Amino acid sequence: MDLDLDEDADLGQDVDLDLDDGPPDRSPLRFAGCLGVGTGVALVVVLAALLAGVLIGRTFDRSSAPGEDSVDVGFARDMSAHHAQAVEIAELLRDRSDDEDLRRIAADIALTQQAQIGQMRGWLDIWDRPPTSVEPPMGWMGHEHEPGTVVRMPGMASDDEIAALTATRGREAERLFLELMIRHHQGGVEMASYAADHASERIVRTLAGGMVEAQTAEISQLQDLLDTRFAEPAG
Amino acid sequence: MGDPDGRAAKISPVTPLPLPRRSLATRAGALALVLACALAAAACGGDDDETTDPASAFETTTSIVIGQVQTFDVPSRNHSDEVQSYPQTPPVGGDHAPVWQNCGFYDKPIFKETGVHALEHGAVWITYRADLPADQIGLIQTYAQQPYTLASPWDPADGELPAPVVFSAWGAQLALEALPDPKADEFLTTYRQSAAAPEPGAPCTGGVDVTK
Repeated sequence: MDLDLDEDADLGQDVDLDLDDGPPDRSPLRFAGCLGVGTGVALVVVLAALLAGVLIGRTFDRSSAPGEDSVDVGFARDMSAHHAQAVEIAELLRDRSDDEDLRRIAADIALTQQAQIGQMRGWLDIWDRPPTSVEPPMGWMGHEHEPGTVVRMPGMASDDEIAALTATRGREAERLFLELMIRHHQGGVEMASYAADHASERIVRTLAGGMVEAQTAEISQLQDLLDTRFAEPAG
Repeated sequence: MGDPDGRAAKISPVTPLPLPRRSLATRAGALALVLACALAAAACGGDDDETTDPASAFETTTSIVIGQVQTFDVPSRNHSDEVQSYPQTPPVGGDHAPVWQNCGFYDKPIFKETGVHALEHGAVWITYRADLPADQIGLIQTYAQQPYTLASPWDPADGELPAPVVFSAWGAQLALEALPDPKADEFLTTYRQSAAAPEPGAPCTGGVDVTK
């Protein structure tokens, strides 16, 4: 009871003091404090909405996805076709050789690159871009071509080279496989390096960078096999 | 019983496809594929049956309008060693050979059953009248060098080609009087590797290059 009375007395004193000294300074402060909190909450809500909008936009708005002429789209399409030929060459070797080492390398290349084809195809679907184009390849790397000319991507085997590999068996098939795959990887590294440096999407740069590392290592491995097994006779 | 090779089941009154013999490994692979397809069909084939009656879907697709993309329901896609009779000329899908036709340009007709298998893998198959002028053939050759595209003259023994050049994909077709035509580019962009094909991403190499 005593304590309550004392507080009432204190409050009364405060009010008196405020009135005597002019406009009370605590009420405006409290009001300003409420305004500050209110504004802060509103700001947070607006920012959250903006962030959500940006995120939703990034997810669903086609205009934020890589466009038709982007490095990302061009790389995904062309590297898919490039990889498809590596898979073809590797599969040809597997049907033509009994060499366990080479068959294992061929399986590694085929399965890795087929999986990567699937990844790149998935990007194109998400970006709402068609998987193929009627334009000549390599435009995304700044290569320009006369309309109607046949453009071959770096390292690609010709129809005749594929036919030659198809027609051989055993040791000759192994030598051709190594030669074709080394050149194919060198072309692949050239394309992937460009994408690793110039693609706008992080996921594209990451996969392309991984291709550069893996295929560079495989080139050494394949070259060693070619050198040790098919060395030119001395003299 | 008295059939050690188990071949009795293969005897059939219809004409077998005159394709080259395949290796045991290929046959085993094909068998595995057929089994996988059968399992997949058993697991999720219920939806297809409810939507359209296969026979009526095919009956509605007889007339070809030149210059317009036409789409079709394809009710069945089993593997078969037999010569097929397709409701469309050229075909846009259906049962087909266990092996697919490789993509690329052919100057002789191919078997429609291997061509249909390439369509299943997301390829576009350009069929043309063999007597087309050289400039038209040249344009077709350019297309045939692009990914997932094959081109071959149509064999009149398989029916009359409805136009000088016909672009076919799984469940879709565009007949044209001549090239170039922007509709051809649009068709290729839309249907090559399209999700409308049952197996986009399956290979367009490693099959056969057999011509008639």
